[in-house]
Amino acid sequence: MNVADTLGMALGNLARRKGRTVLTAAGVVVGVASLVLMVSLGLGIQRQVVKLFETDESLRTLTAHRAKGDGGGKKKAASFGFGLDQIVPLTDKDLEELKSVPGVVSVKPQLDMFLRVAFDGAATVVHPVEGITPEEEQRFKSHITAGALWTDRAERVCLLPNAILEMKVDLKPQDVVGKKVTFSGFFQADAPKTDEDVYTVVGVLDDDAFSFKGRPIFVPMEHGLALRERMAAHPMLPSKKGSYLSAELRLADPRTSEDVAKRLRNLGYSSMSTRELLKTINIVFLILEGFMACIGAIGLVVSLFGIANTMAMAVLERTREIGIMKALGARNGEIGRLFLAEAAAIGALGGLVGLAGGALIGKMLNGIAHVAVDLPANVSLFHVSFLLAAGSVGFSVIVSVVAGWIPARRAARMEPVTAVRYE
Amino acid sequence: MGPRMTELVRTDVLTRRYVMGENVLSALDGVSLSFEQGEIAAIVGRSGSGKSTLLQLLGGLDRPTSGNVLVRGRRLAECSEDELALYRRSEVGFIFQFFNLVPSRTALQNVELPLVLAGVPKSERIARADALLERVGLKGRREHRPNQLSGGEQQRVAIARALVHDPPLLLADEPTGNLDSRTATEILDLLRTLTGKTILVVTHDRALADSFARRTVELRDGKVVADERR
Repeated sequence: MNVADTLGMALGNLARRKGRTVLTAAGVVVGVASLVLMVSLGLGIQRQVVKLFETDESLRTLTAHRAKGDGGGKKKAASFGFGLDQIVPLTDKDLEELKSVPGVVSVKPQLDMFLRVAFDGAATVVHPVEGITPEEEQRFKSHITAGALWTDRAERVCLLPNAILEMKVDLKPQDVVGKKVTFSGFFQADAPKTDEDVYTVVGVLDDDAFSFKGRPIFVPMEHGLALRERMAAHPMLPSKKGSYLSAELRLADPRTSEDVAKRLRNLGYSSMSTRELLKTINIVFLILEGFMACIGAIGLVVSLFGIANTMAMAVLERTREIGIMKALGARNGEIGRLFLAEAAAIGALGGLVGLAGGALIGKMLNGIAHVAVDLPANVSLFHVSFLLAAGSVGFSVIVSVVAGWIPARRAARMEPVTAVRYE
Repeated sequence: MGPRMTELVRTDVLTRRYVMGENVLSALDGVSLSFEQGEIAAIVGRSGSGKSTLLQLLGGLDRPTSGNVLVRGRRLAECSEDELALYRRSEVGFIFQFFNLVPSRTALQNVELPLVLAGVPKSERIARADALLERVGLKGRREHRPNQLSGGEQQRVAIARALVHDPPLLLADEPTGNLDSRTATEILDLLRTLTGKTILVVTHDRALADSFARRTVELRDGKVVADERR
């Protein structure tokens, strides 16, 4: 008996008992729908997180610092977080060394400075402030959405991230250009203000100008260093010129970030590329999704018993038919495959409907989330990947075949003579 | 004994015992018979004489306790289950007392079933099944299911199904046992038209056997007590 005839006969047998087939498949539908819903939530969140990290800027930059015990040689593992007391400040000499690492285009010290920022006649917010070197100016130029880059670095000017306007200050980009902001140290709120602390906003930067590490306010590097020396004094943090917590490295090619990070570690610095970070993130999500899949799969496993029961009943009911087919020359394997095909078809039917159902519920919840918590339109919390779709339907078919295995084997091994005698 | 050249089936000291608890029931006890190609024979005996057991062993539906069945050199006792299935598929056509049609399949679908198992392409098997339905006089009933057919019609479908793959051996177990006498005569007349096939008919009805076959084998308690040719 060929495959097409086996399938045709199996589908015909299922179609004759529609009610029972639908009820049995309903168990699979619920199981697959819950599986798809759970895993697609994990995938959707993973996609959002990865998108956050996987910007061109994030891949193109590396942060390097030096921790105690790093003194040259191989580092055991890349790491991102330290206690502050573990950090050895970087010197200007270190910056020179970093710049000479192959693949690195430019190096600039990170100011790691949080300042109070008082908007003229509006709110005061706390925000990180970083410097821009002359070499970087060209790059930032293309990301200015309002205003323009400064013409004279000697003036006290700054560029604001658009995010600060959206999230902290209720001002339009075009309205903020030309306004004055006054910086003051985070720990020195009451210190007297001088003209030295007042900067003019010359432009607003879009989100693509930044890496995932933050969206600071930018000032010319020389002013930044001066602000840091005056305002960011902290017993535990370096604030003097020539002493920095970390440095930001720009790479010639974002694809080399892992190699460059490795070279930095060999030189005794701590650095983790965004790619390496993404690997870790993806592993965490894989574990999370696996866990969610297990929870979702419980329903599917429960439906296994329904299928096994239906198939066992079908074998009993069709004892005579099995005997007739055997008398006519059906081999054991052909009878077994016929029943397995019926079980698999129930699984495939339930799997496809469940997949559609799960995806649909995800879409609905997404719609509700957009309205309820004001989710940006391009953010989708549920994502059904091809692998998830194919995997869930495939898994339900496999589960069904497993469930049908014992009944099918019983049908296959039935003695033709007892089956035919049955009246 | 006919000439060896045309022998189709032979049984060699064929024995079949059933173990039922502590008792051993000897259904067939050392039966040696030979049937020629194209021979029509009746196997008679009372209920429990072993005639159905003989038929099942000849058809490869059951296995002997000892002895053997030889069909065209094939030794059934030594065949695997799959080989027996292939034997039934190619060499044997069964006709049962209770017709044994698949209730969910139409007359046409029942008749084509042996060809489906043999993997014959759809267009060819429909043509062959149609031709046989016409031959048994059921051309207009091809789309009817068994429960829409009379007993005689169902048995005609069963005969068409037994013939569709053109087997050399036709085994009928009480083929008229569930039919009224007029329909029974019709069915036997139909079977008689099938020349060239070895037809073995099991029946408890001696008169029917005499009217149908020129050879009658009588079984009693699993043994051959008479083998008459007229």
